[in-house]
This record gives sequence, C-alpha cells and structure tokens, in this order.
Amino acid sequence: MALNPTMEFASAVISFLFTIMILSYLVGDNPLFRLGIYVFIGVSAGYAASVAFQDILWPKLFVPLITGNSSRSLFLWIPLFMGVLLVFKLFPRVSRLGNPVMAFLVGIGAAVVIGGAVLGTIIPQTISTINLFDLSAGGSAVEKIFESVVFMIGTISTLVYFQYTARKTPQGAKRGRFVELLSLLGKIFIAITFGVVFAGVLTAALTALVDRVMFIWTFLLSLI
Amino acid sequence: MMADIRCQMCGKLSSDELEICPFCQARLTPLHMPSPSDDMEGSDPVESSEVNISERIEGNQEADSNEMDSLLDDYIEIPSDPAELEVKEWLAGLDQESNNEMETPDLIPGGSADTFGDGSDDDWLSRLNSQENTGAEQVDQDAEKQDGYAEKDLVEWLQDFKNDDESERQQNSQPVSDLPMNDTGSNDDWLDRLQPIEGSVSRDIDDGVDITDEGDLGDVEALPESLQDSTEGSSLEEDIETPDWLRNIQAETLDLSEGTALDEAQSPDWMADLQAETFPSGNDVDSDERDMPAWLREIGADSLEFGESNGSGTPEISFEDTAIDQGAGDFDDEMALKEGLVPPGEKNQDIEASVLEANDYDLNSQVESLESFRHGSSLEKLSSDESVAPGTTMPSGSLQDFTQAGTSSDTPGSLDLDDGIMDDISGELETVDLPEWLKELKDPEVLSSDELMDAEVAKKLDAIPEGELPEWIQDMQPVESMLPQDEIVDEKLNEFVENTGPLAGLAGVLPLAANTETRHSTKPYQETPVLSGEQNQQVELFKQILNSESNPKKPPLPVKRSSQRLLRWIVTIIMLAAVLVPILINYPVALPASNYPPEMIQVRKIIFGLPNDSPVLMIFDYGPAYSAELEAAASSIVGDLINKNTRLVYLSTSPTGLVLADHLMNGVRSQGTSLIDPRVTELGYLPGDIQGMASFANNPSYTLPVSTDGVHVWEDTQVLQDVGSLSGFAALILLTENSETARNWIEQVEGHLGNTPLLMVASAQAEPMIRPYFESGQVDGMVTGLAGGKAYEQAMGISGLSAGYWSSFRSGLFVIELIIIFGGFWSLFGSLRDRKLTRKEEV
Repeated sequence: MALNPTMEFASAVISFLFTIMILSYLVGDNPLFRLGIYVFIGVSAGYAASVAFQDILWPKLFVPLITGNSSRSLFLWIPLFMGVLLVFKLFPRVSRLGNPVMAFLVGIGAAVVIGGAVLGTIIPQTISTINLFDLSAGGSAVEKIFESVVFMIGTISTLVYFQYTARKTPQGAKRGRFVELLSLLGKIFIAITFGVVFAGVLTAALTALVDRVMFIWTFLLSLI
Repeated sequence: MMADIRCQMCGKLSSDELEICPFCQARLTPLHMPSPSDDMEGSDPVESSEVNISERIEGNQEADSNEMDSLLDDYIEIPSDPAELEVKEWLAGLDQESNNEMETPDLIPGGSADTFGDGSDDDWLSRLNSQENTGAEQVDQDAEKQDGYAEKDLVEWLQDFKNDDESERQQNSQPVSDLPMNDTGSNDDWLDRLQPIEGSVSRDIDDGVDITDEGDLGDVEALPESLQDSTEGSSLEEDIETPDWLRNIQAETLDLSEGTALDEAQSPDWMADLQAETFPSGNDVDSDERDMPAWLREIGADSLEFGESNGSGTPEISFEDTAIDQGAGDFDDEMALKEGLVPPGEKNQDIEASVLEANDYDLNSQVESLESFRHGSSLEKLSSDESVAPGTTMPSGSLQDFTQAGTSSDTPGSLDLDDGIMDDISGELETVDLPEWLKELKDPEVLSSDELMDAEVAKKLDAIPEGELPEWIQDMQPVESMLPQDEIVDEKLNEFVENTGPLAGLAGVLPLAANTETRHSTKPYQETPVLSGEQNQQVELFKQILNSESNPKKPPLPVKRSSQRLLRWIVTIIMLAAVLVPILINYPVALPASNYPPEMIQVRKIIFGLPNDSPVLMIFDYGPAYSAELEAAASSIVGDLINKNTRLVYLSTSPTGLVLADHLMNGVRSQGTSLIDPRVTELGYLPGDIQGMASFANNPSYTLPVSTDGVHVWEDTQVLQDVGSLSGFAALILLTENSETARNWIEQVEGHLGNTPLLMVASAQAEPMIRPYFESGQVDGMVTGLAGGKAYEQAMGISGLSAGYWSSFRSGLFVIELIIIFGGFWSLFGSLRDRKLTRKEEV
C-alpha cells in the first residue's frame, strides 16, 4: 500500500534515527543502542502478538465460538481448552496441567519432522549422492567422477566425524586409525562448510551495511 | 655294733653317736638342764632346745608343718574340756595357717588332730613320734585343706589331749624326764605333771588379772626329749607378750587342776628352766636360759602362773567364746595374715602369702594379735608351713601360752578340753583391743561332750562364710572377662601361677618379677628435633610464608591490553569509505556473464517460461534484518512476475513476513520494474511452523481459507478457483534467510508439488545449506543474495536495486577480503612471536 509523503518522511526520519542509534555501537555500548534494540524487540513482539490475535485467534477461534454453529463450535472448545492448559505452563505450581498439551504438541511436531526428514532429506539426498556416479547424465566423465568422489568422501567423512564410539585402551578411549583418518577428513569438510557459511553471513551483513549507508546518504541528500 | 636311736621327731633310726637326726635335724638325745653345780661347759639342753626352736622358727620358709605341730605337742597338752578344746582349735588353726600361708617352723610337731591319735592313745609321746613320721604327709594334707580348716583334725587333736588329761588326771605327777619318750602306745600328759612354780602368780581369768607375769617354767630336764629338743635353738625375741587368751587358759587350767600345784620338782625340768630363764625373778634359771625364745619363756611363766593361781594345778581357762561357736564373721585379712592366721574358707592363700612376704611378717605383731585373741576363733590350724610367709614364725606367745596353759585339769599348766573347760569358761575377761574380726565373732556355744563339740564345730565351721578380700586387693585383680577370649593362648603362660604381688593366685599372667626387675628409665627425648636437609628447607619455606603474611603484597597489575576501540573505528571508517565512495562516484561495475550461477539461470528460465495469469505462490519467511539483501535479490523476480500478470499469492510463517512482503511490493512499484498493478492476494499468517507447513501442503484451502481481506480466495474464480493444492500453482517461490526454514519447506512440500517448480530466493548465508537440495533436484532454481540478484537483473537486462548496491558491495567486499588477509597474517606472526617468548621463558 502506498504511503503518503508525510508518512514516508516520518518513516524515513525514524528509520534514520534508529539507524544512527544502532550504528552508535561503534563507540561502545550506549543508551541509544540499547533504546534502539529495545524498540525493535518490543515492536516486533507487539506486532507478532497483534497479528496472531487478529489473524488467527479472533477470526478462527473466538468468532466461531461466539457466532458459529454449535457443532463446529463444539470442536473449537477443545483447542481453546488446550490453549488454556498451555497457559498454565507459565506458573510452576500448576505447570503440570499443561504437560498433556505439551506432550501432544511435541509428539505431533516430532512426527512431522521425522517424516519430513526421512522423506524430504535422507532419501532424496542419498539418491542424489548415488546419482552423482551416473556418467550417462551428461557432462565430462572425469569431472563427474572427481566431483562424485569428492562428494562421497565429504559425505562419509562428515558422518564419520560425528561417530564417537571408541575402544578402551590403557591410554584411554581411542578410535581406530581408519576412523580417525576419516574423521580428520570430515573435520576439514566441516571447517570448509563453516567458512562458507561465515562468508555468507558476512556478505549478508555487508549488503545490509550498504543498504543502510545508501539510505542515510539518500535521506541526507533529500534533506538538503 | 653301733646302736641305733629312733628319732623322736621323724621316727627314723639313726646312729646313737649322732646328736642330731640327719633326717629332720632334731636332737636325738635330750638336753639336760645343768644345775648350778653342773658343768657349765656341758651342753645346755635349754640352750640347745632354744637353738632348736629358734632354728625352726627362723628356719626355712618351707618348714614342715608337722614340726610345728610336734613342737606344740611337746609343750602343751590340750585339755579335754571345752575351753581346752577351743584352745586346741585355735592351735589347730594356727598350725593350719602356718602350714598353708606362713612358712613358720612347726612349733608343735604334728599339729593335726590325727597326729594326736584317735583319742584313745594315752602316749602323747608316741603321738609325737607318729606326728613326725607323718609330718610330710601332713603337709600334703594341710595343703589340700586350704579351702577350710581341718576342723576334724583339730577336734581329734583336742580330743586326744582331753583324753590324755582324763586318763592322767588321777595319776601322780611325774617328772617329765621319767616319762617314756619313744613309746608310741603311751600318752603321758606331761602338762599334767607341770606344777605351778613357786613365786609365780596364777591368774584367774575371771578376775581379769593379767597373767603375763614371768614365772618359772620348771625344770627343763623334766620335759620329754622331744620337747627338750624342740626347745633348742630358740632365739625368739624376749619382748613378745603373752596373749591374754593363753594366759587365761593357763589360769583356768591351773584352777581346774584340783589344787594340783605346779611344783618345781613336779614340773618338767625344761619348763622349769624355761620359767627360770623367762622369769629371772624368783627362780633359779640360769642366765643361759634367758637365751630361750621369749615365747617359750612366756609359756613357762604362764604355766607357772596358772599353777600358782589355781593351786590345783588345773588351769582354768575361760573363754567367752570359742572358735567353734563363733562365726568367721568379718575377718580382717591383714590382721589374720599378720597373725599368721587364715580365715576359714579362705582360698586366696597365695595372696595372703604374698602379702605377708611383702609386709615382712612381723612376729611381734602376730603375737600381739594372738594376745588379743583370747576367745579363740574358728581358725584354721597353723599346720602347714606353706601357708606361712617366708621368714615368719609362729607367734612366740602361742607356744608359751600353750605351754603354760596346756595342762590338764590335774596337771598344772595343762589344758584339758575334755574336762569341760569350754563349759567352765565363764566370767569376764579383761578388756583388750581385739581385732575387728575377732570382735565380730559370735559367742561360741559351750559344748558339753566331744561328739556334740564335733558336730557343732563341724556345723559352725560350715556356716562360717568365706572371707572376702579387701577391696584394694580385688581392684588389683585383673578381670577375666576383660581378657580377650580369642587370643592365642600361651599354655606355658597359663600354667604359670603368680605367687606374689596383687595378682597372686591368678594364672596366665606375666611374671611380676620379670616386669619389676627389668625397669629402665625412659629415653630422654630431645627437645629440638633433628631435621634433614629437605625438612629444613621446608621449615624455612614455611617461615617465609608466615613472615610474608604480615607483609602486604601488591596486587598484580592487570595485563594491559590494546584497546579494540581504535581498531574498530579504523575498520568502520574503512568500510564506510569502501561503501560510500562507489556511491559517491557512481561508478557502475558490471558482472561478467560467465560468472552467472547456474541456479540463477534456472530461475530465469522458469520465470521466463511461466504463462500469463498463472498463480504463483510466494512465501516470505525472512526477517527484517535481511530485507535489504532479499529485496535486492527478489525485486527483479517479482517485477517479472508482475509483468507476466501472474496472480501473486503470498503468505508467511512469521508475523513480520507480511509486512516485509508489502514493503517489497511497494519497492517494486517505486522502482518502476512492474508495468501494471500487481494482482496480489495475501493469505496471511500461517501459524504452527512445521505443522502449519505440513497442513498447508496437504490442504492449502483448508489451512488458509480466507485472505487477510476476508475473501475466500479459494472459492473466488478470479484468484484461486483453479487451485486446489500446491500442484495447482505455476511456481512456488520461497524467500528466506534461514536454512532450516528452507529445509522444512522443502521437506514438507516435497510430495505435494508435482510438476510445480520450487524456486528459492535465499540469503548468502543460507546458500551453502540449501545448495544440496538444488543439486539433488528438490529445488529447481535459486537466487542467492545480492550477487544472484545482480546476475538475474543483468541477465534480464534490467537495472534494479541490486545494480545500485553492487558497486558498494563489491568495494566493501574487496576491503573485507583485504582485512581478513591482513588480520590472518598479523595473528600468525603474533602467535609465532608468543611461542618464541614462551620458549625463552621456559628455557
């Protein structure tokens, strides 16, 4: 929706101020920085609460209970009751009342996650890894083979790295030499992955910086 | 042929040429008291008798008890009356005690009753002989009778004396020397022949007169040989006083003798000599006779006194109480031990012997106690020398008292218990300091006959309770219960029975002598300990620590660290400059075409291939912090979708997603990338995170039936009337900065998309985690970050938001790379320098 110029100017000024407040962290922790953080957190929490109530609770729970059919409203008493029990988790004395609801939510969530992980990640990724050795897919065979080997080694070594089963020895618990070698290789792949992730984070932050600097420059130019 | 002489003591034959028996050391030939005209160089029977007695008294600690009894028999004759019987009992007790605890020589040979025969044998000399023969046996018998006194023997012994008195009462007094010495069948009562010595004062017990005056004991030569022999070697102290009870006995005996006065001529010579020696006044006893033991002298004096006082020669003995009738009562153990008396029924004779040993048994004190014991008591006869402490002797007064009082009723100075002396004992005796144990004794019953006496004596003896050890002795005794039971028992140690000390009588204790003799002083410990070198160092260190406690220590200065603020400012300035300068100079930088990512090309291909007015679902699941990047990457895509007149339907699983979606749409309009108004339908907020995704993927119209405007878009033919599921959409575009969110959407919509392409606009930080899904074919295309957006715009030939950010982004990225490289080298060199410093410090 389009904003009128006044509102846009006001939003610009507020944005500029908050931007400066956040960038004031360069001089160290200061009240402006704290104020800006608190405002962002508060506004986000408030907006989220309002959206949840306006878009979910009111139109989908309370309005049907009040104005809806009796048969449908009967089913709505169950989630309402469960929601009230969930609120009891906030109070230690009566927190036990919310345990069944929590168990219900955790159970459903675990089922969804496990199903999605198995069907959406493990199986397709395994098939994809196997298909890397399909030379008929096209492309250079050597490149494919090399790429496939690297993928295979990276995948296996990363999984072996997280294998902590060891044998008891006089010197302590130690893994086998082959397992130690693979885990070392997997450590390298994990380190490279973390580096790439860090680079992405850095890139995203740089983009945000560029956006903010450009905004300030534009705002100042607009004022002039 | 050499003639043999039978020894009067032991009864063994020996040569007549011998004067002393080689077996028992008794004189074989009697001693003759020389008269003033006699040769003084001759052997002095009195002297010899004194020597003999002294030898026995001072003799061996293990003297035969029979010797004591035999000696006593030589000097006294127990009357038959109860008084005499009581004396007998006392004597028997003394004898027993001496044999059991105190090693005093036998003053009366064969002091047991058996030695005195069965009462029918009138030959007292023969009894003496029998006593000597059975001396050794008697010791054993006495040793066996330690638990109680041999009342029976005592009674028999006393009875014998009584019978002798009765039988000889009618006889004329004969000189003792005329009596047959070795006749075992005869039983001359030499005491009957004892006559009061003129000048001696016989005391009447009833009158309470002291009868301890010295008197002439008569002619020693008149004594039987045994008695004469027994009188030899006596070296008792002269200062021993006659016990009162004995004096009383003597007095009563003299009274009962029916006027028989002890004449000097009738009294035995030995007694006369004894009297003369003991009582130098009024007698013609030689000075040599004064060497006789005092107890012997006293006996002679008392016998004379008895004879003089009574006139009848019958000593009157009055006993207020006898040992028979008296209960043992509380017996003073110390007093008894000193007196050489053993409490009836006392079993701790070893203790007593040890006490006596330790206390140096005093003969004087013993006699003194005997003097106070004028009533007699139920004492064990002192027949065993084993019970006598070593070095101790019988109280001198006992023999003397007996000699004086041991006369029959007919014979002055003799005690005849059969004459009813016990019945005649009456009257008040002079008050003396009796021992406590004696005071507590009950009054004895007067026995009328021997049988009654025996029975009663036996009964009372049985009734006499056992003596108790004083508490101080009991406390010294180890408690057997405290002794460990499971220790290894040393048999040899258990066999050892302590004889001395407070542990006397106990078995299994360590010998006292070993402990007492091996005393050694404790090693003196040095006040200053000797320390080794290491200990000295530790001591010094400890001293330093203690001294340092008083000295305040300066707190360690904190390690100065370089302020990171300057570095931060520098980096900030550099970055701002890197970002701002391209903006200021507005220098466009183009991206080479070979650098287009393949995933971006796929997105471009799909978007370009979408038909017009196709529904496209867009999911905005990114945060406000990444809105700049994603907007820069997605604005061109959204513009192309709008230009294709697609029906954009968007939703968000986060509450702020819808706001960001509106901001993106506004930005697209403001940039002028879209030529027409977008046809946007906002489904709203999808709650439930993964469950919501799964629910929407299964049934989107049921999960979000109404848009934020309240329109049932799934039923409206203009928006989503041909879309029943996710597969009805032309494309599904996911905008997210979180790899987890992307993974969840990919997993949940995997089986519901069908042929619908799944496109992603992801942040650069999520691209490494999402790329495998692109490689696996689960994601059809992906635009990652500002670079992807720039590539898409360049490929589409448009200039969008990404183009404006690209210059600054490239310069800023270049500066970041330089800073990383420079910082890496800086940290590398710093670590190397620190290692060198650490190694130098270690060296």
